[in-house]
Amino acid sequence: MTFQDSVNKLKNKDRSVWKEFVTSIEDKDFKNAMKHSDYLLKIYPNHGETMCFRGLAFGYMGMNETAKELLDKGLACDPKSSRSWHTYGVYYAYIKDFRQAEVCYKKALEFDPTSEIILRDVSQMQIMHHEWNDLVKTRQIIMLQKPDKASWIGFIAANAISGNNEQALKALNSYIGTFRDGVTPKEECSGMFLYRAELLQRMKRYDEALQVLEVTQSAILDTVSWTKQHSDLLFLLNRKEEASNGYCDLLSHNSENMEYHARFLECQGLPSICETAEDSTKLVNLYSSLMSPTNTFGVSMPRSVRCLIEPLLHLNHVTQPELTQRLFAFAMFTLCERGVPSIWKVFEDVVISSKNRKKTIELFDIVSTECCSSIETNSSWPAKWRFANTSACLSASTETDPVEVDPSFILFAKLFCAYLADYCHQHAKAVSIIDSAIEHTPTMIELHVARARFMKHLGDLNEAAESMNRAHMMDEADRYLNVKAAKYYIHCGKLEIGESINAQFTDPANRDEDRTDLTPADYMYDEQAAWYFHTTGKGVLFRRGEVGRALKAFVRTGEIADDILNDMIDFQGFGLRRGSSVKPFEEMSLYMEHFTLRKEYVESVWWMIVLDLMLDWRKKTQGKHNAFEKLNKWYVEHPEDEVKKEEAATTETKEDEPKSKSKKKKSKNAEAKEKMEAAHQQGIPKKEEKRRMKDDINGVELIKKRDHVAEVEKNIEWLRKRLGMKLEKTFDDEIKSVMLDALQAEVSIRRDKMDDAARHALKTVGGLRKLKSKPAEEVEDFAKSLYIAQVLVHSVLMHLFVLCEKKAIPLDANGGKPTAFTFVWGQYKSFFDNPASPTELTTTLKSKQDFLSLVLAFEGCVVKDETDIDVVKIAHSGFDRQMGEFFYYRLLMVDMGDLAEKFITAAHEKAKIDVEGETSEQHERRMAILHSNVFTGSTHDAVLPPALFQPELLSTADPQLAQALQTFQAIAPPSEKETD
Amino acid sequence: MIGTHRSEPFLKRKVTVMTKSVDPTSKANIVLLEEPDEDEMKARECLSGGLNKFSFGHPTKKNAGTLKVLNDACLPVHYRQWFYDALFTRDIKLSRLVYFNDNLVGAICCRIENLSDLYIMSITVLAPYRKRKIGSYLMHYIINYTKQHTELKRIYLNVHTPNTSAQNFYKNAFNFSEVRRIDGYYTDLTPSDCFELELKIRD
Repeated sequence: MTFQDSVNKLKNKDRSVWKEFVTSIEDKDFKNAMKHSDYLLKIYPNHGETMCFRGLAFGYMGMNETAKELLDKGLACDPKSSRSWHTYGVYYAYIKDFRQAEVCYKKALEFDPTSEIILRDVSQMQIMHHEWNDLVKTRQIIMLQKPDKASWIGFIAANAISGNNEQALKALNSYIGTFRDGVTPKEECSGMFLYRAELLQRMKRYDEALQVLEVTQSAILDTVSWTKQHSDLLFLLNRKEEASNGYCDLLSHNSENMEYHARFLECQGLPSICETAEDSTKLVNLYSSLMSPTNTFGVSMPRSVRCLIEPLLHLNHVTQPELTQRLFAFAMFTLCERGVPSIWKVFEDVVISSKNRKKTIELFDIVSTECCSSIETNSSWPAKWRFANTSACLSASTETDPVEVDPSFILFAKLFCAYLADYCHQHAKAVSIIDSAIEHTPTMIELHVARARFMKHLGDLNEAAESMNRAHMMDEADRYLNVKAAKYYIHCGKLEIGESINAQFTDPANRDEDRTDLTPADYMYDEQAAWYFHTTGKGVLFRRGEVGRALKAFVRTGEIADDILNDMIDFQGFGLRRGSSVKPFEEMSLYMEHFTLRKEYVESVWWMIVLDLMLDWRKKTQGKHNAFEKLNKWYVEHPEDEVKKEEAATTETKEDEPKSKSKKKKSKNAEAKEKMEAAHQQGIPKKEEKRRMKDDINGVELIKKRDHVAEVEKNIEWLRKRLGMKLEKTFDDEIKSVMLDALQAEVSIRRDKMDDAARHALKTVGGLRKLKSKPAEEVEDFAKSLYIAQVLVHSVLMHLFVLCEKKAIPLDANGGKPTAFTFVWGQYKSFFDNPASPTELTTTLKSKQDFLSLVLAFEGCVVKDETDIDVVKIAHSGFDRQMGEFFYYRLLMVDMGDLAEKFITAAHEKAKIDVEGETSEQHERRMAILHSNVFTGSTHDAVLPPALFQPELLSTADPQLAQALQTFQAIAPPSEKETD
Repeated sequence: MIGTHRSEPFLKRKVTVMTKSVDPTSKANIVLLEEPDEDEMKARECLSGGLNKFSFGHPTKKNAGTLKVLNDACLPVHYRQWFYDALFTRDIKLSRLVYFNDNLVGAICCRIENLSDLYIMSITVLAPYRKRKIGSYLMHYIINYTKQHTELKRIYLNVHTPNTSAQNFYKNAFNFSEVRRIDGYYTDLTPSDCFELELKIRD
């Protein structure tokens, strides 16, 4: 049954009404839509399509239940109507259930296999789900029916994506065959010819590709792409000299493109890392001549930053330390003299891509420190590190006099030194360097921005926000600083201040007319500002303990991702119709969802999982162990300082206000509901009834309705998909995948499926072992992640052990055979003086009432394993940074709610103790950091002052805690502060 | 891509040509770029250390924060916010900012009193950037301003009595003369006395 059939059921005179009805829904004019559908349903009470469309209209208005009911009813009237199925699919796509949408579309296609609309929608869903072979089939049907440009591009792209380049080329050739001189737009010819060469290149038919490019050169409008592709082909055909000329040409357009540089070097016959003296001399001379005004390459880049950096990138820093240092000194001098505030970003590239980062950092550190002190003492750059050009770096400096430098020179040098220290986790050192620079020139904004960054890494989020605000106040016209200042305030929990800074954008006076009625948060949602919700979530969770609000914010971040995805799907059709090449469509289809790999989205989903697990636990234990609320209460009782008091006061009064407001709101809501119902009866609901965030900013309703475990499962899937999407897998991704397995096990435990849990847990243990079998230097950068993964796995195992014991399930699921479980359990046992069972262990622990010792026990158990020591050492060097997350997972995962509570109380008691020789100011600062970061589990980085771990001071308050801390000190290496 | 060029100071970046009457609160009017005339060029020539490293501007509502930071770093007295707010109620050219490598390093703020006296409220140069004639440039600038406005008869200022280097600067380089000594001028400095110096431009 086709679309036309659904109309044929109506009488002639009513067909115009039907048409109007459909267009009114397309225009989102629901008032008229309701009117028309009422009329139609009166005459044809069993007209399924009308019902379905009416349901869709309700769906658009956010009334999902009514929508679904009507859609089901409509479908029941006529289960063979393609139109009804299609409408159902549109509805599912609207509520972002793309799987169901695809099912519906396919069903619709069954009854009407040639409908273009349905085929188009099906193809979109296939792109969403990466079903490339099916996509080719769908696109072929569309193509055969209506061979216009859009169909051709779609068909060619589908073939190319599915890997059938042969077919794609054939199709492209026949499409190009339809081109007519003077009729076909120039852009299209240009795009298609380039794509033809690209396809040939993919099929490794380089000669033909080159021929295509050379024959069509006059028709190509995108000359840069042409040159790039042409040079690439020459390179692949081993015609290096010609290729080199091409890359020089490209470099003259853009001297900062890394790819051009890399290819250019290859054409010159240089390896990616120059090991021999001969090669490195050639490399240095090459770049020296590129930077000189005249050279044989015909391209001069005297101001290019890349040209300063490239030689460093291709050197072996271990075997050629002196040359590295000289080149670095030359580059640093040039950048400081020029005054480049992004000086660190430039060198960070070199550090990150270095094969031996420690060595590189060491070399850079020596030079930069030496130069800095020279500038400070006699305001001149040491002669030893002065070179006239890149070539001069090949031998020791011949300069004899130190070079006098501008007063602003030191600022950039210090900026570099500070960032280098920050990169090496010496955050306190970074702050002190930047403070001295600020003292020198307080008017340089970048210094304050850098200080805010370092303060954040140091764990003092309040001071970080103040610093960022200082930068913002110095240039209020700078939107970057505005957003950053707002973000830093929100991050440290001072939401009100952050919002007031943000108000420059959210102020109704600055908005478009139709959006003036939105609340600031809703406005940010409309603007798709994911950072705002992500930061709000972290801010309210860690600094205020408002779980519901945090969850809501994280959910909102996810919704923004969905919205953007929806927009992109909408854009696909447009891209096909208006595009002049296949490539953009192809890339968009392949990488459509890749924007969700951004930190904001991924992190939000991780936190959603954590919160959902916690809330689920809270619901199951009837709120007995909600650490966060206790914490929140504690905050209100112990305001850190006057500001905090004021804030608390404002929040209190505000709490009062919203109550009255919420009453008002409620009454408003009630009114709205009544109106809605009335409208319902009349069939004229209003457009503005669409649900908005202000209804439930604290997430109370959200939590009530939410099926936590199901959401966790969904989010685990989501994260798994993202991991699969990454083009390059890092070690971190492997760790994350193990963590996901652990979470999967936890989900199974919550679902009471012990077998599944055991299966996943086993997989996790295996995965963790595999991760730790890597050599230490490879693991180094990911020590933090690995550490968290360990903690997570251990907590899940512990939980599982405890439950297995309670339920008398044998630990080794393989029927008595020794398994990884028994292995891990053996480790626990050896540490705890052989308790007979996990239950005994927990009871002993409970009798000690010492949660911390459990934590340390986990630590110890990791240390016991000889192979782990390196990893643990690395992790411990940043131990304070992980404290938060560490406790967090503990509180959450393990059945230790009571102990967690004890722990928090003890911790607060402990925090009250004064450390000897501390000024009251220092004390307050320490307290602030302690309260806000460590025990709330901020991802950002608390530094516990070493003095806090003085057992003799603590013993008076809590002997057990002191003992535990002693154990801790024994296993932890001296903290950085002491070594500084 | 990594920023290769340090962004130009906003002066060069945004050139707003004003044709209508100037509304100082309007967002569009953040910056006015004037063509330097001969006197201005002459004043700039005295700056040492490469003229291309310097740039010049006037305070705006958006960058007043930087000026505040500069004044707080250089002066023993700290001005309240109204000091900066008031700058924008007067002719904005009565204040001048000097940037060195895009950082604000010197500033002068003046006001007109009795319709005929130009009073220098503050003149500041960051310590590391002194000895580069930035102060001299600022004085030349304000003398040029006074010369161009025929209703102005003299320039005058107050200087803390122990600050002899400043007194010499005004007296020797710009021919200022001492008018009187005011006792108890400063409320929060010791000694609290100051000299009033003046330069007669026209009778």
